Amino acid sequence: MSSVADYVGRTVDLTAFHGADPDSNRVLLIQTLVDELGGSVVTGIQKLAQTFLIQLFKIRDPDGLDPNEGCQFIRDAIQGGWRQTADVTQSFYASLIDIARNFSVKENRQTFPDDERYQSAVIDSIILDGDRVAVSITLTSQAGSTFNFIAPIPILPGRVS
Amino acid sequence: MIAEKNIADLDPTTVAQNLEELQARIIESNPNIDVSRGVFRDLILFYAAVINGRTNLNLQDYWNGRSLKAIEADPTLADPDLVDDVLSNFRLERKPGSTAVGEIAIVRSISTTLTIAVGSEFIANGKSFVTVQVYTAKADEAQINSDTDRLITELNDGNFIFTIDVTATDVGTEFLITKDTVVVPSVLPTGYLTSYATSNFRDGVNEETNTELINRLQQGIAARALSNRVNMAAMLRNIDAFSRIVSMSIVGYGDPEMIRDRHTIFPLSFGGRVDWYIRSEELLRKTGVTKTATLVEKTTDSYGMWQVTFNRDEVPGIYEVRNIQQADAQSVIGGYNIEEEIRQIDVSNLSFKIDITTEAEGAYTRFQTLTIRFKDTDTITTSLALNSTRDYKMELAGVPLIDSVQDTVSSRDVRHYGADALVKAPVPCFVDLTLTIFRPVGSDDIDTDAIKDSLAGEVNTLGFVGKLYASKLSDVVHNFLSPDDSVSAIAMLGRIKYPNGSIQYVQSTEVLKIEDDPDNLVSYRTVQFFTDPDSIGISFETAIAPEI
Repeated sequence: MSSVADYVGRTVDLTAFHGADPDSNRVLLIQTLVDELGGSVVTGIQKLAQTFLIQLFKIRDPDGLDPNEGCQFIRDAIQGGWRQTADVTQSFYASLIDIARNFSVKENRQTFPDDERYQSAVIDSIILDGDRVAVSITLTSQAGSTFNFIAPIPILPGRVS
Repeated sequence: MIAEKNIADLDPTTVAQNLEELQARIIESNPNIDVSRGVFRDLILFYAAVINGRTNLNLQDYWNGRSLKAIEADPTLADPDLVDDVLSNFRLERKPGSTAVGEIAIVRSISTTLTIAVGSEFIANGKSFVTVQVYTAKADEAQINSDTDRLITELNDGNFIFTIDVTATDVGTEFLITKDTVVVPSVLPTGYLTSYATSNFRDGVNEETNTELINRLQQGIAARALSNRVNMAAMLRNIDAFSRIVSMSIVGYGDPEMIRDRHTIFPLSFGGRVDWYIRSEELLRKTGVTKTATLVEKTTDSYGMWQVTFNRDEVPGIYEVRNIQQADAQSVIGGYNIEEEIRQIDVSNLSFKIDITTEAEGAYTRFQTLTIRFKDTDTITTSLALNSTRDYKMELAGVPLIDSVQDTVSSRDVRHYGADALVKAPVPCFVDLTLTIFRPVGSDDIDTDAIKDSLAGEVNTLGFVGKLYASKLSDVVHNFLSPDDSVSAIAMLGRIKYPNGSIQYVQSTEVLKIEDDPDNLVSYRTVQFFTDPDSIGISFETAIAPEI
């Protein structure tokens, strides 16, 4: 269990992917405020992970209002480009080029701890199942394996309704 | 209804600026929050920046149009509906645009009866026109029973022709196609050979812009009387038929171009005379007419000089006669050269006589008469007697409404009790433009017609300024180009037709300037630039990037 002390000297982000556990695979709850738990903030490797996921899920649109963010991963899915696992793999690694550049631009402008700096991402497995796809990804920060998993800490009272 | 801006109206730069401001404010009060990336940045602050941006756009619309002062500062920025609301306080309404109408001739190889349905589409220069009633073309004159029955007549080449009227599908001056423009039906009738505009289309005007509306406001508030220049303009524009006059210039006492008030033996201006230069339409009005010419001279090469005379009611505000052809000529291109043009004045039998003493003073007014002599290089005159006659079709180019305005301001109830006002079409400077657009290989097509329309619109609405800058035209062209395209220098050639009949050419790639010659009635106060899309040449050149 993390404490406020773990957050000293770090910048935080709002937790959007709840339930992360460094020791197991589990489906995350995607929302900013969670009933019973309220809102929470996150830092460290999990902050990097959710930033990575946002970049992966955001559709890059050079003519849009946020032209330098996101990648083509979800666009490929929407356009029906995923017919087999190889398509997903190709789409993912093509998208990593944009994601890596986005991280690089921001990490050159601002100093981040090593466990919040992107180094690489690889696909562990892909399962295409009807209209669903499960992609397992290993994300590595500049800290490599030397990081402490800092769990989110709540910032709002427990019950929100 | 004022149109609210939506997110699609935003640009990325505005959103980025809003986002930076929000990020700075958040960090100022919460330095531990990471606003550079992640959930805060992408899911909260970004969308807040978008919503703020849209709100700011709507606020900006309000600021730009909240008062007369703000609107007058830059009328182009204000939302038209907001301007309408503000000006409604002064009982001023924006004048709507109107659709162009005109007649087209359809040539077929057969003379069978043909029905053209309502809504039949015709395309000219990428612009769409439709019929607004059913037309039935018939070869038998006895079967012509109504206005919509059209007689098919045989041409001397064995083909058949009839005419119908069409209307533009949208309002605006860009639909004012010129005489002889090819107008192609979307569905070709049996035996179809060609179809073209029989004369310049008319009536197409744009909706009044904010700038025009604000200008009219000043005149709307002013007293409508023949007094000072604002009052005079207000009086004229308050009359519905004259409300869409494009520009006017009033020359009076003390102006060097006013020579009519110096008609005494004393070299002094005595006042009491007004020369009122009026441009009623953006485009030059070209009207096709058929006239009977008289053979006045046989030339040594067996041809002859033919003469046509127009009385003052036939050529009010007319600059010149163009494209003279035999009445039954098939070609729409070319014509006989005019060897002599004699412009005179006729002020006979007028209830109120305007003080005009020279032909130059009366040029381009409703009191001018015109005689032209041309050499018909197709008709052998050896066996013809002098004074033989023959019909010719020709085109009159000029500014409409000059006679109507003159009649109005000369009427006893309206005219000034101590002055006469002579209404004139402006001294014309006919402009030809030539330019080249350089484009990378594989560029998308450009709408050349739209560029020509915009260039013509820019030239024709300059007002009485006396200078036409190439840079303004380049700016117009660039609006249609992508960032990799370039425009050459724009070659501008102007032909000024002086009221005394002389011609002066001016050319430049920087600025066409009208040199002051007030004794000959030529200055920035009297001259207008005229061009039309057919007088604009645009060529394309593919720019191949050099290998590095």
